Amino acid sequence: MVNSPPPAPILRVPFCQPDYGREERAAFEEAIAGGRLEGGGAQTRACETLMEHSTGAERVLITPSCTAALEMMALALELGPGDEVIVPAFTFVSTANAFALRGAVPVFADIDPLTMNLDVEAARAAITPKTRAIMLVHYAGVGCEMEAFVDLCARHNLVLLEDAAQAVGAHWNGKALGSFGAMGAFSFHHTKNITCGEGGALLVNDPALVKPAEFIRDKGTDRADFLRGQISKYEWRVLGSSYLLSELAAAVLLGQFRREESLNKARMRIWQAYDQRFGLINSLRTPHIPGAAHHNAHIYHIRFSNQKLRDDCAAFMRAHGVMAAPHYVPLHTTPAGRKYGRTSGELPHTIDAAQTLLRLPLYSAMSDDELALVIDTMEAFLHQNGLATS
Amino acid sequence: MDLDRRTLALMLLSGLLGLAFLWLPLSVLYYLNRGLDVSDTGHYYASLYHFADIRMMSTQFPLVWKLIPHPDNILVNRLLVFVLLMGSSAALFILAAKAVLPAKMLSKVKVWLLACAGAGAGALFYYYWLPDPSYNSIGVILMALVLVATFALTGIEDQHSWSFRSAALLAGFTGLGLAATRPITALIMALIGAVLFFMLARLSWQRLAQLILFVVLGAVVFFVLVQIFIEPLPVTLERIHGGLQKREILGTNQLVAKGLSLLGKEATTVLHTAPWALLLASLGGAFAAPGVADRFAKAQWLRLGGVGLGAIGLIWMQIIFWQQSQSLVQVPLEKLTYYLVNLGLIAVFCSAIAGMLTANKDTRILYWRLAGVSTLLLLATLSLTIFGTGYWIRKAGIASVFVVLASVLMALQMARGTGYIWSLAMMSALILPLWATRTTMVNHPYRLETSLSAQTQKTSIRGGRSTLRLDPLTKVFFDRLSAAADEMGPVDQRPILIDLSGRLPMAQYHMQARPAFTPWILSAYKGSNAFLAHVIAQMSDEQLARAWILDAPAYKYHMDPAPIAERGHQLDRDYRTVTTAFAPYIKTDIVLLAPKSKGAE
Ligand SMILES: Cc1ncc(COP(=O)(O)O)c(C=O)c1O
Repeated sequence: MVNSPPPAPILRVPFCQPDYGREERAAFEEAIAGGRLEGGGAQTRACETLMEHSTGAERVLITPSCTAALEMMALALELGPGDEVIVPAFTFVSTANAFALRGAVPVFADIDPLTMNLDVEAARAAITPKTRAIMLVHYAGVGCEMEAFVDLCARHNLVLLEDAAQAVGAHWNGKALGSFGAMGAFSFHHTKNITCGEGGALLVNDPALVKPAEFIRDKGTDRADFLRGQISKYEWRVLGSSYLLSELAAAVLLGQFRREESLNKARMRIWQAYDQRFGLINSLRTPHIPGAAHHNAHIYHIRFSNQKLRDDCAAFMRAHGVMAAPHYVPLHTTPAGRKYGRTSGELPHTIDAAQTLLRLPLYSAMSDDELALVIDTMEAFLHQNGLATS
Repeated sequence: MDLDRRTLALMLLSGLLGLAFLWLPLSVLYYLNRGLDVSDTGHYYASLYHFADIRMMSTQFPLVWKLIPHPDNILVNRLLVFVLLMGSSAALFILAAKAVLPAKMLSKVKVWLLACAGAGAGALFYYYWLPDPSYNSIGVILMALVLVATFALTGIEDQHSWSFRSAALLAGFTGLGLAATRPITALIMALIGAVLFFMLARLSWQRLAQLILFVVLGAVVFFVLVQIFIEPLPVTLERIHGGLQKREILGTNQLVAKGLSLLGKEATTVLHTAPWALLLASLGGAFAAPGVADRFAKAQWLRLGGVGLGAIGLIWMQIIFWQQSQSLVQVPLEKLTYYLVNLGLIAVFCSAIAGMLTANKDTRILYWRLAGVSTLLLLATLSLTIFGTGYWIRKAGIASVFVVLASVLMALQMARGTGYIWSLAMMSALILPLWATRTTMVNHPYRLETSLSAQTQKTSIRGGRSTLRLDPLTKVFFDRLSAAADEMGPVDQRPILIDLSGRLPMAQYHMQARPAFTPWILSAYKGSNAFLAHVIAQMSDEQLARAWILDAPAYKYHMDPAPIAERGHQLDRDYRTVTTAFAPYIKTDIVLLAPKSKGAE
């Protein structure tokens, strides 16, 4: 039985909480002292350098959000009406919205029930003559079956794209996620491992797309070449927008990157503590990490046998001051999804994940007490419901 | 021995205080492998380890440093600097006290405190320059040793003894070393040394003759060693000549005048920081000083009043200081400097006033000696900083060492008759600014963007000669240059690297490329482009054709490659991009260019 929750329980463990420290403050102050806060400055270049180095991407462009980076992909590929892009149905709005904005049709395909990543066979089945690209989402920072998708795209002459919003610092067979496709996108939103509140990055891996991507970020102009002294005046070259991040935010991001190692270590410690307690419980499904995947401890999720249990658990946790959260509403069931997208076949695994998945609080600054509270509360719920046997 | 409880407690306290001072050096050791500045420090290491290729240099410090056998390794260098800094300043503290104070005033405990405070002060200097004090420390070490020799000389009665002679030898040896490192400072130090000697020593013609003889001999020893182990005089002279030309062309000679006016401005600011507190502390201290109040009726009350006033002055100063910096531990450096200099000034004023007030002739002489010595030490430190280096931060680093010394001497003097209480109080007051400096510098190391604790990534420097921990962005910079350096070919055949950013001399040291006859073509000076032309003009066609170029096209001070183009090498036509990297310190992308091979053209 579930205790009835008190009217307004105190939140003792939030779902996520950014960890900003001295490095961020120092970089922030330095940016202000530098006096130039428009995008593309020293702080931005510093972040891009670090990411180019760690991912091996040809060029990294910092953007105001992952959403913006995804929109830049659609612009760079000049997608439009009549084009289709295959996306998993279990993903964030932006993954599909970016293409719908250009008039292209996002095609929703089902996910792999173990990883919640796009299922290779489902993707294969969704391919039509109109298909231009496959957009992968590395859910929870766990890589998709990259070899299979690279092969699939090569066979059908499709562009491979990666929504690596959750996958900063994660790898597949030693290669950084986001660096496999023609382009990849990272997110530095409030909820992510590395964050500056709002922020993102476009990883350009195809050298032919570097210039177009630079143009698109700077209002469709070649202003970046102009600033580098390569041309004497700049002009409108392609369709673009203003996809530059303020130097203030970039400064905070740089501070976060400087602490990336310790931030990730702290997250991994918590992820592993959860996995030790819940990973072997028969009645629960917990993250499946394929052998080739080196994940980044972005999310620890637990899947119950049905939606009621999941919702009860979330309510129980909340009543004890712990914030645990379900995830996406399947895109093919949303009003805009139905209007702008197309659904490929039945999507049972997407529906199931949406109904049964619960994410536990996870952030680098989580204290031992907070961690213990989450685990104890969860265990209490499992005991009450007779689920605690492994 | 009958130790009463009070003595025991005091000994315990001073032992602990000494350990607290020693904690400063220990934490330098902790940070020894963290951080690397790519500008100044690059100049230092390039000068040391590409010395033979260099023909234009305005200070000849490698002559001194290369006499000490050591490997080309940054960590070893830092350790060596650190040990010598601590050793020389600890020796200076002890010998200065011995020269000024009567022997009976220097108990074992006090000598221990002095040695610890001295080592702490040496470490403090290191802190001002964390992560790497580079050549500034060589000047300081030499200066401290000159003073050590001077103080030792004043205390040795028998001029025929070998201790007198070796002290004189040391003065000559280190004096000439200092002249090679910082010539004008060396001149001033010679003057100050002479005044100290005349002020403190028993004088006779024989003593003076012995002194001069062995000082000269010491200098000769230095000269001969340099000739044998390093290089013949004509080469040195050529380099000095080239260095003078360099200053001339760059227009850095005016910096002396600029430095002097800056110094004047800062001296005024120092005095204005807390003038009344300073006066109060000095006056109070003088009345509290032993042997001063005795001649007045109600001496006991006067002395107590002095203690009270002095304490109010000191506390007032601390309050002003902390109010201005708005933090107890994160203190702006210049505020810290002013504070330390103020402490030193109190030492001077206090002893001078005490000297004026006292009736006893011996005591008066003692106080005036103290005042004289403290003043000279302050002057000595300033002389090291005006010429060659002109910023307050450098002054702070050096001044603090001796200001602290002066204050400690004062504290010791005050201890006379009143036990350890006063010395302990003074020493405790000294610990505070030392701590503040430590914290400030660890968080804001010289020319680094991030604190030392954020320097976490193991990075191999100069083909593996050193391994340091750097911040991630700096590591990327060094790693990219390492990879590029491998393309340069075998180390002994590497070409010259011309740095058009004019701010990254560490690149040539790291890549083991040859310097362009000077360790650093400085940008951002009036004559920078002219100096670049001067350097290019000295290269043979073959050297220029093989040279690699480090360009920073978007950097605001980047230098015009025209002199290279005039010799027929166009950057955009005749070179290929080996790598690009985001450079720390100048915070912009650099491009590393190598000449296209002939076949490819
Ligand atoms: C898979 C995925 N794509 C895109 C985004 C959007 O990121 P941003 O908020 O940086 O635009 C998110 C954010 O949660 C996400 O999880």
